Amino acid sequence: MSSVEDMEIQLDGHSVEPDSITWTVEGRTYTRAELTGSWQQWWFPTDTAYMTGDLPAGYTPGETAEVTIRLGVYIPYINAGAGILKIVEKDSKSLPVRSEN
Amino acid sequence: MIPGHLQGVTLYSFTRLFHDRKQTLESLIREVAERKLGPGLEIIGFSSFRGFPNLSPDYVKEIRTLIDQTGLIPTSLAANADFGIRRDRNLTPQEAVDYMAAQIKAAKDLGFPLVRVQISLTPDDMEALLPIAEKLDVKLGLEVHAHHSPMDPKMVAHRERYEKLDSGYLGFVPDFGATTSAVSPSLKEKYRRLGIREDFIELLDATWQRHHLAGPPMTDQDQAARFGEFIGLAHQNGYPDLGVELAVNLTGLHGHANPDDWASMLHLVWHTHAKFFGIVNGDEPATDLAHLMKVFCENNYTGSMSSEYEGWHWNWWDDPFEMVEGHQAAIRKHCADNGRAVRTEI
Repeated sequence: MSSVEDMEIQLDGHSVEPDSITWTVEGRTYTRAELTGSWQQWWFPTDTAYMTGDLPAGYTPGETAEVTIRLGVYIPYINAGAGILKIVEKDSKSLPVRSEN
Repeated sequence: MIPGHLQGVTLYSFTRLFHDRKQTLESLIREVAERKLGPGLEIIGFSSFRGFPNLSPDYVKEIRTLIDQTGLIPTSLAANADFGIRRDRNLTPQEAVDYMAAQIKAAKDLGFPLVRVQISLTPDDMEALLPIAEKLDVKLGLEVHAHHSPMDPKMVAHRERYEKLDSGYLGFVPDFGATTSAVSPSLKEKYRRLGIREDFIELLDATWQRHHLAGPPMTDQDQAARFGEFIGLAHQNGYPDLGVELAVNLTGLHGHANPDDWASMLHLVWHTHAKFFGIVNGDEPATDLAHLMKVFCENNYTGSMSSEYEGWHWNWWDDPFEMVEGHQAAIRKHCADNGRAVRTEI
């Protein structure tokens, strides 16, 4: 888990508050800071990881938003010449806004 | 004809199917056997076995039974030397040895005779692991993967140490990505399908060709400069998000060494990664199989060889099983041209 950092979520280009973002795998939820120290916990590649965060102001359930997530992922066995290799994964999808509370 | 190497495949070739949840570990092992892509079977530990390297006896028994049922032969368990797994510091040498020892033990339990390890381990680390390898009777093969090459000073230092120790347990796993002859056409096809400008694709190819003429980078600084050059080109040409990907693909997967260089270490090789990116007209256009098989046959290589299809990273349109079948057919032909019959059965 410590190889995941730089979690970002945007809705239509508006950033979700970084400190509100969490990461959940196998039923355990991590804050960004907790991920950094979790080098003995593993994200098995076929497990779904769930990212959550506070909805930016102005959205109401039922709307559709273009959701973009960006992850920085270290490849911990590769020295790229100037340090541990980190790649950035990014994807966007149009998703409905819904309330969990 | 003289018996040659043992044919095989690494399940890494089918990563796209595994990640897409279209195949499981069990279904992949069974399909490899049914399609006769073995008998050699290589598996990556962390990404294939949940909980690796701490596996329960019941799970180990389940995997061994499955492999036995298929008639496949475990050849190599690919371990990770994750020296950079902590964010606050790198693993200490003792921590790295402990990290690897657990994986070697798991490989033994699963029935693998060899563990693929990585260049983040030093010759001292390897010497520290030797008693564990000897005790468990598991060989260790340090992968020679691009951007490194057989003549890289780090690899030469490992070779000199292994020769001095003369243990029969410390050696190398050549990866044909270290000795490519061209940028894979399937990689360029991916960028065309994404709508990348042709002039930029040509610029990338020309940059790779310039590096190829200069040869493999011999220092971390040389590698960092080339890596940074591709990132800079991406930014200068309007594709900043592609920078790191281009650098990884064109410096970390397409290496510049001469296939003849493998001869310097084949006396310490029991397993090989026949890395490839695609098959066009019955041959592999980016790894010169005619040249590579000539070197391996002339040096009487009789170890195992995994076809390792890495084109899956970018190729979403071809069937990886068909790619591996084509690759193994091409290898058998080139070995036959050198008077060697690839072993496809035990």
